[in-house]
Amino acid sequence: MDLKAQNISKRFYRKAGESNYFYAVRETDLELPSGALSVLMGRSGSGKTTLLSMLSGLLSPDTGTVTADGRDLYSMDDRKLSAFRAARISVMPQGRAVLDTLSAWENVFLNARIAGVRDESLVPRALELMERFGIPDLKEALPKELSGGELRRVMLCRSLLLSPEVLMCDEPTGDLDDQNTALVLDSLRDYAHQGHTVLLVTHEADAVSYADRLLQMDAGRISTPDPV
Amino acid sequence: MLKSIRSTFVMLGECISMSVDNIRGNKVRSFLTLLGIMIGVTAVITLISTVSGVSGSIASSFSEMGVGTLTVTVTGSDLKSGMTPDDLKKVSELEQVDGIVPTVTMNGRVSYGNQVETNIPVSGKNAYYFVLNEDLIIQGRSLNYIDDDNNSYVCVVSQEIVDTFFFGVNPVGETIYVSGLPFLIVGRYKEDSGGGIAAIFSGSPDIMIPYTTGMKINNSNEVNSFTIYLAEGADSETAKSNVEDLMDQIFDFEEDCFTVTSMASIEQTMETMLGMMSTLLAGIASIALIVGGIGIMNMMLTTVTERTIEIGLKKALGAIPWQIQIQFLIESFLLSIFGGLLGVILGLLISYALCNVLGTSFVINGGAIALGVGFSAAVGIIFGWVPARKASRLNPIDALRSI
Repeated sequence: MDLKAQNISKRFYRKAGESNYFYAVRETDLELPSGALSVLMGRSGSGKTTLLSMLSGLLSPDTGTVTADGRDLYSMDDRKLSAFRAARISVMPQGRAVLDTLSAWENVFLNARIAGVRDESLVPRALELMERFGIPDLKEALPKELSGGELRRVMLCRSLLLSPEVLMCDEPTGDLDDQNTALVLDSLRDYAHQGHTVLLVTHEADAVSYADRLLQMDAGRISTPDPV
Repeated sequence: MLKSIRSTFVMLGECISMSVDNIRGNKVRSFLTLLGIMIGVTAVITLISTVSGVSGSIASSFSEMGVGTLTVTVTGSDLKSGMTPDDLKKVSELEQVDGIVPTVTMNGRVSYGNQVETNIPVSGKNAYYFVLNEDLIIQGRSLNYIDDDNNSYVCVVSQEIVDTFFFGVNPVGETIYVSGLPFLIVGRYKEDSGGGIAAIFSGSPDIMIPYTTGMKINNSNEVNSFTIYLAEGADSETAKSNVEDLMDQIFDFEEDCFTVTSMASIEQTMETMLGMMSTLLAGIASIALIVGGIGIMNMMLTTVTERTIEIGLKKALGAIPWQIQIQFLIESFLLSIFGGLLGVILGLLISYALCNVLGTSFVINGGAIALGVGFSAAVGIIFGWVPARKASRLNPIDALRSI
């Protein structure tokens, strides 16, 4: 699925200096093709997460449109958009985005539960993903018993479980060591090369070498949309 | 279409499952949330069940006292102040009437030898009274129809009289003086004189004499109060109506000469009053349920704020607003219903203990249980609605920022 943003902007209320607003994303055009790992880099506060939120259907832009295979995401009502996202777009947010009352295994299945998917074939896939990311023994562990890096990998397994057409990851390697960082980046590139649309938001310099498309964000604008 | 319906059911199942997971995962918070409902339902069940038990006991006491009786009080008219023995005979000959017991009471000065006691309760009874209470006499004989007809100066005495005047002496055959008149003691009776509601209301006498003799001592040839014992299977309302008709004739259709009270109607009035009391108490206790419901709403609203991350994450992962709303509603419903069930169990236990202490029968009131559980379920849905709606409208981006 190709994702396309046209002239999107988003501003937030913030009393700073002479203006009451600041632009997190400003008049940005962007296309995310399928089959390629797009890496969005930039300093903290440059608008990366806001852009990811708008592209994934979580945050309505003030101006412009976001289309998925030609379909305007924000012309759908809340119910349809949620169902569309649950079925086709997977987001891996920053931080500890897990439910503390569920085990690691249950957290991996959270997407499937929300989407109402009950498929026995998901069990071997979940096992395979946990194996691949080096956390097969942590099925029964609760989030509070896991390290930051282990939690990231649980979240990654969750994001990949339903094989979404579009995968957007916000700082997925934040708490990982070099070896696991390489493993995750490698997996994301492989996943993209299987024909999926993958956007990786990071400020990890190592990610550059894995990118099929490198996007640089600065002060709400994409400054270097050059292919690598 | 079929796939979409199946998917909706799976989602609904997941909502229930996630609600249960969340309740189990936050045991202390869940318990505190359901505490209000539990206390409310406990109060309702305890009150209704205890009042039911008391009501049942009162009804059975009335039944023991004699539901098949009519109590007649005569105020009389200017020409006729009471009922003569002939009038009473006419009443006793009515089809539905088994017999009547007139009530003649006085407080007498009683003496035997040199010993004198005053204010001794003396009651005039007829032979039928002793037919009704055949086990009453424990020594000698009872008063009979001949005694009634002849205004005999005979009496039966209680154990208290025996202890007072005849310690170590057989009282039967002795003569005792009541209000200066000599009475031959023909029998001794048990302290618990029985005799139905009239005896209970008039107190237990120490000496019983023929009622006709009692009337004579009172310088009257009429009685102003008597109890009618109905024949087996007689309808008390029909009998009451027939007695009223006859007494209207006796009193020449003068107004307000007498009142006939059916024990069945007293019992019915009592039951109605207890029912009203029960409803009133349940109404007051229901306030506790509403307070419990508000407690649930407060706790759920706090929970929404506390669970911003969870809600935001689920929405970010594609949860449809109704999924979030349903999950919160199911949670508040389950908490309420669980609180309600705990309240029912606790209420029944407390009611059982109270009934034991009060000495009344314990009754499990199905209506009260249905009311308690139904009300708590409704409270859960009504008071869970606002927090559920708030949760479903939460902006996922705001939530994800706080991760």
